[in-house]
Amino acid sequence: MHCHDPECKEACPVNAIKKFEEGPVLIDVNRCIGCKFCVDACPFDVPKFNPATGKVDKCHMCFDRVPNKEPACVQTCPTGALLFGERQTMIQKAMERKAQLNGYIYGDVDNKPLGGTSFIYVLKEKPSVYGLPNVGSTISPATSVLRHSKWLLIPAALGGLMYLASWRQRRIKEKEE
Amino acid sequence: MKTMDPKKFLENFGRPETLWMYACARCGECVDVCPVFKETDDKYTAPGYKIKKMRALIHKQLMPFGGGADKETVEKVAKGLYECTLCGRCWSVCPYNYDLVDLWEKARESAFDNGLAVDAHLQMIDALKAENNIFKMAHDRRRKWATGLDVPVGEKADVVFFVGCLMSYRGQLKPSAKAMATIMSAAGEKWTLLENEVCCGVPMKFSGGVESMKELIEANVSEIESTGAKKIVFSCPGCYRMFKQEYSKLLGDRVQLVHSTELIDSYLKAGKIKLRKSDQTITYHDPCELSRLTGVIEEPRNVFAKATNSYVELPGNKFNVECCGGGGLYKAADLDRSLAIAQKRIGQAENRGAATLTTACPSCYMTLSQAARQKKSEVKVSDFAEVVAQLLE
Amino acid sequence: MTEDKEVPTKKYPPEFTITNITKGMVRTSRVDFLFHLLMAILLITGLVIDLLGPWLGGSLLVIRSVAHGYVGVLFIIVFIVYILRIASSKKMKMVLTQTNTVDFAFYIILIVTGVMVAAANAPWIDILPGLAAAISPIGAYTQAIHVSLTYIWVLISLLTPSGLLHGFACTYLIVHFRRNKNKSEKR
Repeated sequence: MHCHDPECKEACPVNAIKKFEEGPVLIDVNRCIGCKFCVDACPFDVPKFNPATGKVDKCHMCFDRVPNKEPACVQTCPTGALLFGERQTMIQKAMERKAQLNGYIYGDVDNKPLGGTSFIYVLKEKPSVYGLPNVGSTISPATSVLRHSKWLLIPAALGGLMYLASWRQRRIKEKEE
Repeated sequence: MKTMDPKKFLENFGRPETLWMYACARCGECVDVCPVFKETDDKYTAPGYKIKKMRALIHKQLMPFGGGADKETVEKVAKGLYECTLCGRCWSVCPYNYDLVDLWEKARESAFDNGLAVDAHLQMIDALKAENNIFKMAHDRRRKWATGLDVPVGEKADVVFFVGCLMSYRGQLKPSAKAMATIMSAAGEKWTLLENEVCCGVPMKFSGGVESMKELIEANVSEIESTGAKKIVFSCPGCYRMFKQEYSKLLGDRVQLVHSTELIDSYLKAGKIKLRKSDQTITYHDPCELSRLTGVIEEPRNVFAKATNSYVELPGNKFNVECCGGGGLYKAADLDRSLAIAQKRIGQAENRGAATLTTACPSCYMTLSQAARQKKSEVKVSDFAEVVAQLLE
Repeated sequence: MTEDKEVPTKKYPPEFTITNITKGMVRTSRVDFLFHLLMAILLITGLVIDLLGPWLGGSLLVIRSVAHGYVGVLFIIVFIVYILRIASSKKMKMVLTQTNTVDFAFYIILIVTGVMVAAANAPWIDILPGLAAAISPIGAYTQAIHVSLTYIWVLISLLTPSGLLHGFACTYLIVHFRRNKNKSEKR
């Protein structure tokens, strides 16, 4: 999965996860601190923590091969179940295949989990049958709490300032007397 | 009569005091050692609990929408503040080394300003205003203890003997004032009494009514300066500490302040006086004001090393001395408990097998001797100077 | 009657320095001292990771794993001892405020969520393989709770006279009085 608005990116405290225009969502291994916030934030369970290295890995869409070759998984798949290509082309193909199968599409077309996953499944049955989660198009509240709770420091600082102000007032009164 | 305003209670706390309220480590060490809390078992006498409540009161004042403190708590806290011997045992164990004695004194000031003072303390202050002593006895009787002795008064001299109210007026203590005079004369010191000695003002400080303290201080300072003294000798650690804290601001470095124990030790070292060695088992109760709060710890022991063959230490001595129960005007606030604490101390002296319990503080002497009588104890309580004077060669 | 602790002679009036305070804290209770030290380390490293993460990046790996991870394990042990000490001590129950109790509740939740986050990490996954599996189903909200609760604690603890205000007051006093002391020496 390489979501349009990746939830893992929001959860990462060190900005180690980047979304590229071309599609891939990458983890910068040098920046990763192994906090596993992304592991639990991702609704698809894509980033995997590696206890041996203490860091998180995920599919990087073979960015080092792509302009010239297909990703390794696509190339190696013996039955040709995986296809790789330009976004519009792929959507086109998915629609055609869906019509053939009279099935369902999970990914970029009808429902767009997290703004679209850049990974389209064409399925015979409903997605839930295959264990694909029903994900909304925006990030979950847990992750936004994780991301934005630091703003509570502002009211805390304001409260502290109010103390200082009333204390100062007290001090001034004390001096006047 | 001053009125109580819960919002104004503890308003005199400045920056350090307020911060210390919050910084308090909440370790509870002070609760364990407080002599008054051990006796009363009332939460409001425990130092840590008082700080907790005082912090809550201050917090309500500081908080932008805090509202006021409630009257009942203020009254309870003020009552607890006066149920304290100001011995500083809490300070001695405080991990932050915070000057708790100063805190209690400041808090008492505020309690006094809010009209929460103990009645006995108010009477004492009235007496001070009227007759310049805490017993409301005629001022011209102040030097009556010296009858029969040839005592220089109001002369120009290097050394001034500041007697203090207790020594001057209390019958039991008059012999020890005399003893001190004898020792100084025996050492060949050129000394004098003040013509118009008045109370040093420490009772006012302890009760919180510091406003009326200034007149007394000024009166004493002008008296001392007229004698041109270079050294002031105290028998009372209360006066001694008061001079060190308040008077030294006015007197500066010109005048040296010494306690009688320090003076006698220096005489012995210089060979000005000599002592016979007695075989009595003597023990020494460190007055809190002297040992803990001003640091005169070794001097009396040096003297005893030369005065007796068997000197025993009490448990809880030197820096960690346990209060006799008479400090900080606690006796005026709650006599029975104060004496109960003193009886414990007498019991400790008995356990150590002491025949004589000496102390270098008239207030401790009064409390301990009263408790010894009450307990019908074999231990004889006597003043430090008295013991030394008896052994003079 | 309790036996006297050996208290070194102090100067009067007292001096406020970080050394004196540290000595006093260690004398009073080692557990107490460790608790404060470790808690401060955990709080500061946690805040650094969350607030300065975008700038410090990968260099935080060591801080996260050692200063926030292994220290966290030590803290859990110390905290348990500390809580038992408080529960068994009448005097400490007397001087601790209700807000302190609220603090402890916060710490307990932070410890639980912290363990849940860390259960899958390197040494623990080998030592206690069952642990990570046992608590993973409730994992979705753990980080959110762990991080946001810290900030909520900061807010509450600052507005009520609680742990953080106590810490700030101590820090201010140490800095302030040391400066004062220098002044008086000059005079």
